[in-house]
Formats: sequence, C-alpha cells, structure tokens
Amino acid sequence: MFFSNNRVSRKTLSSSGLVKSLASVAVTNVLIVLPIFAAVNSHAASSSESLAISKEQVIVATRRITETQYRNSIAAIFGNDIEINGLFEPEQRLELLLALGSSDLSISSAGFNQYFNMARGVASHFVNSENREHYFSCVPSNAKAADEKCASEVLSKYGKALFRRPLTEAELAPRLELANAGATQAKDFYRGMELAMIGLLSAPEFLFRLEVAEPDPENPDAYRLDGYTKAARLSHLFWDVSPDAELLRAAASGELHTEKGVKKQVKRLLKSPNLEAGTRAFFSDMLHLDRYATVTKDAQLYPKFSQTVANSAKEQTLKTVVHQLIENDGDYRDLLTMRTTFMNRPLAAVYKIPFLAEDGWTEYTFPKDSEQSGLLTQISLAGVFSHPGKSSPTLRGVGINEIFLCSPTPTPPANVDFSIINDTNNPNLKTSRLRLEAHAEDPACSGCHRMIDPLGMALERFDALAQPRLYENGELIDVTVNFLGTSFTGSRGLGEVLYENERVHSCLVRNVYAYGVGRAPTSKERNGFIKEQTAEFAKKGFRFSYLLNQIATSEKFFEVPESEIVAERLRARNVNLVAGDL
Amino acid sequence: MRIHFPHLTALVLGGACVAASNFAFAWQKGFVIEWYEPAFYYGAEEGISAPGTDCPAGTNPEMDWRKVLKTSYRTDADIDTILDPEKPQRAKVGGIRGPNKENVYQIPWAVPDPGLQEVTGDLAYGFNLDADESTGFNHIGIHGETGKKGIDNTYYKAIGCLKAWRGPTREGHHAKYVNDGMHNGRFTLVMLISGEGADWRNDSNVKVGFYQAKDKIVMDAVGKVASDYTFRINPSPGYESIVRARTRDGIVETIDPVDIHMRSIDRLPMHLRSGHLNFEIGEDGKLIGFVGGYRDIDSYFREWAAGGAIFELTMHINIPAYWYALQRWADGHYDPVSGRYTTISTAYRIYANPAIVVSPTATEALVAAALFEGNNEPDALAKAGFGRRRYVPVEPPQDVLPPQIKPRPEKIEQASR
Repeated sequence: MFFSNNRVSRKTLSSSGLVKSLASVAVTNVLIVLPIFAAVNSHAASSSESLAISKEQVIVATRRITETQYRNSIAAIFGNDIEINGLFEPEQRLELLLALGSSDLSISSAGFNQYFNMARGVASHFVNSENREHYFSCVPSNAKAADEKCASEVLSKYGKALFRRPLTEAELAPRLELANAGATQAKDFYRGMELAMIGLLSAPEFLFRLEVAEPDPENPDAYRLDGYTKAARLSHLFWDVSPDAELLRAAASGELHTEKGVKKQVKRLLKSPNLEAGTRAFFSDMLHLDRYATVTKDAQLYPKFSQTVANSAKEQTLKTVVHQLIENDGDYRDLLTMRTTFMNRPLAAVYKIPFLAEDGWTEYTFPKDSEQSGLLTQISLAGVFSHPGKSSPTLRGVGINEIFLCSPTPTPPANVDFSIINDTNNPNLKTSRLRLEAHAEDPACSGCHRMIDPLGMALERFDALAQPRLYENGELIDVTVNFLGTSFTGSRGLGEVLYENERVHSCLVRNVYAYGVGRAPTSKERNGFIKEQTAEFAKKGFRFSYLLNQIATSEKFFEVPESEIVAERLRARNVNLVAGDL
Repeated sequence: MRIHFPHLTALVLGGACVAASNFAFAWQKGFVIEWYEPAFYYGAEEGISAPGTDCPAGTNPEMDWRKVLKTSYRTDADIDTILDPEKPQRAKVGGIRGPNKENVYQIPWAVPDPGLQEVTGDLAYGFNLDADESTGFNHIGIHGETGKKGIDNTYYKAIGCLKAWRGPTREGHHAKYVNDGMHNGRFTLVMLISGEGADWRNDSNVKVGFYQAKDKIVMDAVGKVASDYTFRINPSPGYESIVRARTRDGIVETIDPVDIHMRSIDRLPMHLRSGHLNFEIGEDGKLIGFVGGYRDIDSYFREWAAGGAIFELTMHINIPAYWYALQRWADGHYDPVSGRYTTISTAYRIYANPAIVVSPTATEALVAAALFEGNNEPDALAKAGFGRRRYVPVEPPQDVLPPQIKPRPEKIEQASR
C-alpha cells in the first residue's frame, strides 16, 4: 500500500533518482542550447545538485511558467517600466487547460534563446546607471571591482523573489563567483551583477515552478507540499504571479501548513486588486482565448476583422468576466445570459451598435429583445469558433462543450467528406443548418454531430465574426433546437439552458481546481471532491470569489499527487525510472 | 459611464418605430461618405487622360512655367532660379506674374485669359436645375442610363478636361488625392436620412442631414472604408444642412430645389443653391448618388487660389485660366448690380457606407436628421471673413476684363445641337 490518506508514502518517492532526473531534464534542456548561457551559468546551474532539493525532499511537479506569469512576475519584482520583448514558447492545451499542458512542457533551444534575450534585457535595465539606485540596497565599496558582500545581499534578495524561495548556499555561491569574476574582468561591479542576474533569470528554478514535497513531520510516512510550493500555488491561482514577500514570509514561518495561516493568506489574496490579474489569467485559459493568436477571417467576407478587433474582442470578454465576477461579485452563470458588456469603437461596428463614448471602452447593455446572450454571443466564442469564411455550428458546439461543459470532442475521422458542408452556394441548402443536417445523415458522422451541432445551431443568427444576422443566403435562419430532449430557441434559449445545467457549474469547479493544482482531477475526485465543491459553490450563489476561497482552503488543494500521476508525468518526459524510485 | 439605448439599438438594427423628442420618424439610416468627387463624365474608353467624346483633344496640357513666369521684370536667369528644384521658390513667387507684379492668385484678371480646353461632349451627370430641357447636357445616370435632357453642369463644361479631375469614376488623380486624405483622417462627412412613413422605400416625408464628423474614418482589411462605425457629429456652421426629400422605390430624391450646405471636396464650406440630390440605397445598405446645385464661383476660385503655385503644380491648372473659365460659364443667380452671373451649376458624386451617427457629445444616437440642427446659416463663415480677405480683396474692375469674357454669358447650349 503506497498511499496514506492524502499523502504519498515516503517510500514511494526517493529523492536520489527522481530529483536528479528532473533536474537534468530541466537543466540540460536549457544548457545544451546556448554556449553563452553555459558561460554565464556554468557555475550556477551545471548540475542537478544546484537545484535546492534536500535529500528528504522530492519534486512532484514542474510547471513551466506562462507568458503572463513571466511578465507579471518581472513587473512585480522589478517594476512595471521594464519592457519585455520576445516570443514566448507556445503553450499546450492538455485536458482542456493550458495550465495542465504547462506541467508537460519543456523549453526548446529557440525558446531558451528568447528567454535568455529577455533576461539580458531585464538584467541590463537592472544595472543601468539610472536604475541601480532603485534596485540595489547597497553600494559597492569600489564600483570598479567585485564586492562580494553587496553582491550577496542583492542576489539573495532578487534570487528569493525569482525562485519563489530563498537561494541555498549551493545556489548562491556560484552566482557570487560569477558576479565577482565578471566584475574583476570588466572592472565593473555592475557588469558582474548583470551577468549574475542573467543567470538567475535564465535559471530553470525561475522559468519552471518546481513543486516540492517534503516529509510531513506529523506523519513520518507521508509527504506534504513544502511551504514555498504552497505559496506559489496560491499566488499563481489568485494573482498569476510569483509569491509576494508576505506569502514567502508565511511559507518560511510554517503558517501555510496551518488551516488558519492558509485562510489568512487567502483572505488577503482575495481582497487584493491583483485578483483581477489572476481572474484574467484563469479565464483566458478556460475560455481558450489563446486562440486569438491564430484566428483569421476572410478579408473579403469579413473586412471589419483586424488585429485591433481581435485584441479588442479578447479584452471585451475579459472585461465582462472581471466586471461580473470581481467587481460585482456576481453569479458565474450570468456570464452565459447577461446583456451587459463593454465596447470600444471597432467592436461596436462589429456588433452594429452605437458607440456612445468619446474614446476607449464603455459599458454597454444590449436591449432586452436582442439575441445577445453573454459570452456565448461574443466574438470570443461565436467569432473565434467559426471558420475564416463562414460560421460553424459544429465548431461552436465543440467550443461550448469543451469550455462550459468540460466535455472534450474527439477529432473527426480522417476520411470525412466535408463537400456538402463546404458548398455554401448550394441553392437547396442555403443555411449552415441545412448543410449540416444533410452532412449528418451520414451514419459515420451523426453520432458526434448529434451531440455537438445543436448547441452551435442556436447561435446561427451570428455570422462568422459574431455580427448579428437574420438571413443566410436569403433564407431566414432557423434557430430552434432540440438537444437531448430539451427544446430551446436561439442564443438566449441556449444561454438559459446552460445557466441551469449542473455540468456547467461543476465544469468551472473542475477547471479552477485543475488550474490551481496543475493536474486534472481523477475520476474519484470528480465523483467526490468536485461534486462536493460544486454543491458548495451553488450554496454560495455561484460566486467565483467563494469558489476560489473554498478550493484554495481545501486540503485537496495542497495534496501531494498520487504516485501514479508522478510516474505518468515522468514517463511523458522520457525520464527513465529506476527501480526503487517509486 | 453606463449608457443603455435599447430603443436606439433596435432602430439601428432595423427594428421598431420609436418616437423621440417632438419629431416623429419611423426610420433612419446613417451613412459615412466614403468617396466624393465632382460628377464628371469621362468620354474615353481607357486611361484617365485619353482623348474621348468629352474632351477630343484629351486633357489640358500642363502649364508651361517658363512661359507664365516670363514678364518684363524677369530675366531668363531669374526664371531659372525660380524653377531650380534645388532651391524651390515657386510657392513663394509663382503667383507674382501680373504686368505690375500683381499676385494672380489674388488678382487673376491682371493677366489675359490663358485659356482652357473645355468639354465639348454632350453627356453629363447632374440635375436639370433650371427646369429647362432646352439648355444643358444630355443626362447620364450612375449606371450609365441616358434619356433625360437639360442637365445643368457648366462647372464640368468649364474644367471637365482638367488633368486633375478627368478620368473614369473614382480614378481622377485629384479625386484620389482628396479621398485618400479623407480616408487617412483629414476630414469625415456623414449623412443621416430619416422618414416618417412605414415603408422607407416609399416615403413622402424624408429629411437628409449632411454633417461633418469628429471621428476618423476606419479602413477595413481590404483597404476600403469600414461600415457600421459610429461617428460623432462635429457641429460646423456652414458645413451642414438638413434638406427635405422623399423616397420612391428606394431612391432618395428632392422634390423641390433645396439649399444644401456641406463641406466641399477641397475644404471650404460649400453652399449648393437651388440644389437637388438623388441617392440610391442598395440591399447592402450602401448609398450612391449625386448632389448638385449652383455654387458661388468666388468660393470655387478661392478654394484653389488658396493653394497657389502648389495647386497649379499638382492640379495642372493655371489659376487665372480657372478664374476666367468660371466667369465664362457661370450660369446662375444673376446679379443685376454687377451684371454678372454669380454661381455655376455643378454636381458631385457620392458613395457612402452604412454608419451610426451620434450626437456631438456622444451621449445619444441620433435617430432623425432633424434631431441635430446646427447653425445652417449659409454664409456664417463667409461673414466671419473666412477665406475672403486673403484671396479676393477687391472686386475685379470691369475695365480690366478681357474682351472675350462675357459679363452675362448665355446658358450653355446643348452640345449635341
């Protein structure tokens, strides 16, 4: 029996093989790519021993930080005036969330090149003569020579913020050595510090969130997440950023191992204006807003679409979410039916409404009789889940299933005949609905389409750019739908059906949990923990802030993953497990 | 700011009839003008300057600067210096070419008429402004339809062979220049058409409002003016007007002559007296058509004279020649005191896209042309001295007019006769 309650038996995870394997994955992946990085970091991160894992500790997950986490962390640590220019590594959606894909990602050589250049930019800003007074808490005794004491003070401070925990002696020493060597060689203390800072910013301990488990003193046979890992989970869930000084203090003091300590921090995190950043990050992930990076429209058919419209539409969705869930502390379900949203001039043209403001953004409420229904009819869903040249009830159905019902759709078979669907000039099949119904007569297709299309059919009075329309090719669009025995009409009807659907509620709970802990819930968790949390969520009026609170203060949130999960992740990384590691 | 406009949005989306303020209206359509040019007919089959039925000799030749600058007080060396591209002086002294160093941009009659090739064809776009079918051109419509007679467009007659304007629809180089400027945000013109009837296509009580807008035009992904954008009216005395019209089978047209105030294509307020309009609104919601009327020849002249040598260079027009042509072909609003016609019949071609027109403060969507009535006083800016003092400080003395100028020109005879 390997498991003991929520904790993994110490016998299941030995630090000797596991840590070295993970460390080598992270470090060698980045070290092989740039000789210059090797030069800078040759002392600091040349071996697995550099990772600050004691023999008692184990790394239970590595999660590459996202672009927003990188940007937010740099801004939080160094200030908002640092410009970060670079292409971030593409993220990967796994089990419905990018957050789960991040647990499965490495960094390519090209990607590391980008991170390294960004690190150089930040480090250059850090030591710039105009800024150093702000960043450096000490002044070197001689600016043209090494000053180990001052270097140690500064590197310790910023290393802790970047690594989300204090640097160990083993981590600090080689970086100090580098700073000293650089200062001596360049006859410039700050040049040496710049090199050391590049090393910190390029280190796997910064670019990856290494989740560490340690022996549980209250249960010698079990593991628990260490305080710093807990702090990082909280800060990334609530604020999408590295832990602040207060969280790191709570981690160091052991407060995060107590229920009271966690609740105190959660309360603080919820009250902060930074909650908006965390909410934006979560819903960007859940609502697949990353698709904006690749969405295109046929310019001849949808000439209003532009990068400005795409950026605005993404922002519209996030503003709507933040307004409803954070500013109003409102009911999550209303996101599917509400008529209030935010507009700027380009979006107003797409939605064909007046833009009644001087400039920028303004709150706007659609009339009661409009077909607008919350996020469902925004460009982020109706427009993004469409083809470049035509709407697609199927794509929209897939989107709704995945985003709001947590129901992934299998990829279509390779030999599907799309000719009927694509023939938009067929005089007998003027609407998408008619073409899809004809297509779905094929028994090979009907099984999936029956589950997917009806949801999308309801949105057909919005074209591929989410512009309102009544007709397609001169034919009045029929938006009456029967979905698994439930009849409804149009986008408003769809919104109301989803509003009441318990799967929609539990899907959000599942996503918040999975996003926070970096893994999808097991079937056991879905049937137990997620159900319980969903019921609690309902009792609290489906308020997002309560959901964050209840998930983050649950024991499950800090639970050390079961050994099968760890083993699976390791296999996925082609890490050879040694007998005895598990 | 929280603003809710359910009823307005319904209207915008073609919804219900709503009464607002004390003006009853049943429908409204907003537009942003996306192309605006003189309604000149191009009689050649290719190019933009080939000889054609309109101008058998092609376009006017470009100005010979060496010739026009040659005066008693200039040597060839002086002219070389003025024309030296390394030391451009033309903008500064290009207009000083009267016999007594008069600036011909201010006193064009100081030099004899340099002459212009004028239109000799018989087809023109526009309106029968004087209700006399026996004078003027034969009509050609926006789709090339013909049949009507008596089209008054002597502005076309006067300068229709000018290189700047000549060319097929939307192809003349000056039209491209000014419309590009409009597309790039130099100015924005909007229209609001509203009616009282249940069927917008056939409504006897229609109002058409012309306004300037504060907001810039937005270009779409294929480089055309984007539809459905919102534009705030920019209150501009002299540049706006509301005129009565009707719709018949989807065509918006004036019944009786009206005064139309709008921005001219070249900047100044344009007052079209005894004017007409005729617009066609397509199923895609876009509008094409014409506005026309009699425009003050002084206003026409000042607009180009203000550009001076730069205009002469880019428009390939000799400014005094333009002044003489305007004098020659003025055909409206006879002034018994001066014994001259003071206006010239003209027409403009307009293309407009559907847009949403809102109040100047963007606090409400305008739902009828009459809901916003600015200062439509015809000469508001002229009375304020706008543009007058600099270019036409004195009336031309009759005795310096060359003999070929007819102080009371007969209206143009139909060219086909």
